[in-house]
Amino acid sequence: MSGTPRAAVEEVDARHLRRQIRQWRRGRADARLVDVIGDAYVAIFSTLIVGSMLGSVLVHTGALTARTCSGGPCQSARFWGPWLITLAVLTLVGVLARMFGPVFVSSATASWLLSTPVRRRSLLLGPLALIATICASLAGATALSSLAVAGFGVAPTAAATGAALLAGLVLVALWTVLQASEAPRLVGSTLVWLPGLVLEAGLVLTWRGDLHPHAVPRDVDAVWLGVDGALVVLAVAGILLAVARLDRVRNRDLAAGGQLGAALSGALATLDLSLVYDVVIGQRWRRRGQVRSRRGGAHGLGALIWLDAVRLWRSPSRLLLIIATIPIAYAARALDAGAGTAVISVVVGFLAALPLMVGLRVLTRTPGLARMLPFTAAQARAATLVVPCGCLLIYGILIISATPHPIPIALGALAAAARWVTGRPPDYGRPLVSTPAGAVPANLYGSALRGFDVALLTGLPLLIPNANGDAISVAISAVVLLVLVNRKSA
Amino acid sequence: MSKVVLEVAGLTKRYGDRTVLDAISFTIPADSITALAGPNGSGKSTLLRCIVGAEEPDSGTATLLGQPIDERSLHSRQHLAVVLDDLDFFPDLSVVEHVDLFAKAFAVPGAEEVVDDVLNEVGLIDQSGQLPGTLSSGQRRRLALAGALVRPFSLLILDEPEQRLDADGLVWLAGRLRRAREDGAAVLMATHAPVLLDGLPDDVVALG
Repeated sequence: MSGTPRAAVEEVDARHLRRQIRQWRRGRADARLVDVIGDAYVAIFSTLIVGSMLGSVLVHTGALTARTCSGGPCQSARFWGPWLITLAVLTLVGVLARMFGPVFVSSATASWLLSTPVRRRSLLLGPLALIATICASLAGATALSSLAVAGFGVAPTAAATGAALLAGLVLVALWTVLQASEAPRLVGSTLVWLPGLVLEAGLVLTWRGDLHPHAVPRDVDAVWLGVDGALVVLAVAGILLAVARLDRVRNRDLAAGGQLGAALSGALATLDLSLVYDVVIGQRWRRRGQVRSRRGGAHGLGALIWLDAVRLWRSPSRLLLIIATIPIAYAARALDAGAGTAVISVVVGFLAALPLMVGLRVLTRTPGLARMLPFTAAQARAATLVVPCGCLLIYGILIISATPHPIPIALGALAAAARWVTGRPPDYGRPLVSTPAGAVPANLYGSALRGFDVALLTGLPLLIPNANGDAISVAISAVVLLVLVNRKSA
Repeated sequence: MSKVVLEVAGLTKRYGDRTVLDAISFTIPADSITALAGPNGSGKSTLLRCIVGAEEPDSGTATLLGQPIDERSLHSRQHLAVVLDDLDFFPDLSVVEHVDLFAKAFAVPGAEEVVDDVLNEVGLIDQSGQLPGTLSSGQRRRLALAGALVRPFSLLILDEPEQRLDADGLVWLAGRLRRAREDGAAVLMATHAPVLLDGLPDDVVALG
């Protein structure tokens, strides 16, 4: 039977709710105060030790850079590199933050607290502060370390680190406002890539040789003060606006990030990066929900290739990502990377190709699905490599003026990406290796390096200054691909 | 007498000291439906997984139309349609694109019409543009069944197809299996559902 009708539902005080939760938790603590103090001591001590070691490394590397880096291209890399790296980190942080919300809550909070007539803003202030701190810290730390390595002085490093930190805050504020708004998803996705577009422009300018070291203000002057001042105003205004909009964020947008976080933490706990890939791809398409189906295409194995083409048509951002990486090879060339440009290009191609490997990944991890197709596992896997291989060949051809090895680069990147997505998860059923962190499966740590090993193995022969390098690289890629497509499912 | 589609001979599977399947032998002729019956844990799913090659038996064989079943061989994949519990889908392909894939992979003539018919039959025609991540568990089960039914097969193996299917779905499935039998195929299913056990199977293999 339903309860007695009430005249009005009163707003619940968030502080009251928190107090009540604290009361429930009292007496159920699983750590004593002395344990907490001990843990805090270890954490602070470790942070100080590791921090001072890192600081020392950065200062010494900076001094070394200042002494040895005198050529024009090196000077350009030294003075512009930190900005490009910081922009790359801001882009990455933006994509991650957007994926999570940026503001998100656990499923329990979404179900039990957000459904009450509590003022949503007071519940979400904590998560917003946490995310803003993480994003700003990441941007600031990246700027600080890269500027220190580049040998900038203390004052410009401090000013630029502050600018990066404030830029991180501004972006979090912008994404939160977008999360709370009814703006089309495309608008949000485009804005998230804003730092990426600036990065792209920077890479193109580097490629064209338009970025000169003297273009960077090396001392704290009016420009730096102006930039920092403007960013302070933008950050304060943005955060205030974001806080004001927190009441409008929908429950479904808050809970989705929490669910993603729970799924990712499970995958990360086992260092299974391929599972992280599955979770991220799955979440992305679940959010989309519906697509315009494309029918037609070839029969037999051609059906698998056709569907990879459909994927590319459906989500052209995968191809755009590959195209967006093209200036990296040219910028590396302009910065005197020489033959190393080929190795860099294989690694970049490998990373850019990962979003294209959904077909191979799903067929590898799901024997039930592969079993429903009238092909051998090797045939099906080979078919899913056709479209990614085509895209990487285009990539190799478009960077031919920077590094003239289109086929070895394409095949090397393809083999590395295939290795990454077909990697087996850590097997806790096999004998474990004893480590200070406890017993771990033998293949646990290797999973973090998976793909990079093949990228280096196929990229390094390209440093050999004759055609043999190309042949060796292609042969290694072919062997790796043959082994991977013929490998028995785990 | 109908030709033998599946022959299982002396199939044994042990997990450590526990023998789950002890020298199981039976044959399934064409135009027939065989049910595997038994309580939970009696080894029905393990038997099916051993038959389709998803698990390695300790001894014994399973032959399909005279050839050993090997999930890597083309012969097995072309004649055997399987819906076990390890189903998953491509996250970025719609319902109709999945069924299209199976029809086109098997070069089914008039694939698009056949796919529409099957989607209509399994009740997913209105969800044809949806991505699998947004389907309910019952709808995902129906999608897996659609993938198996859209293609030609000599033997259809189903592991507890009643799972996550509603009452109407079960009645439909019973009718669809009858039709597969009339078309000359053999069906082997592990089931607890009375609607699939009462009057439908020609033979019952009891385990446990």
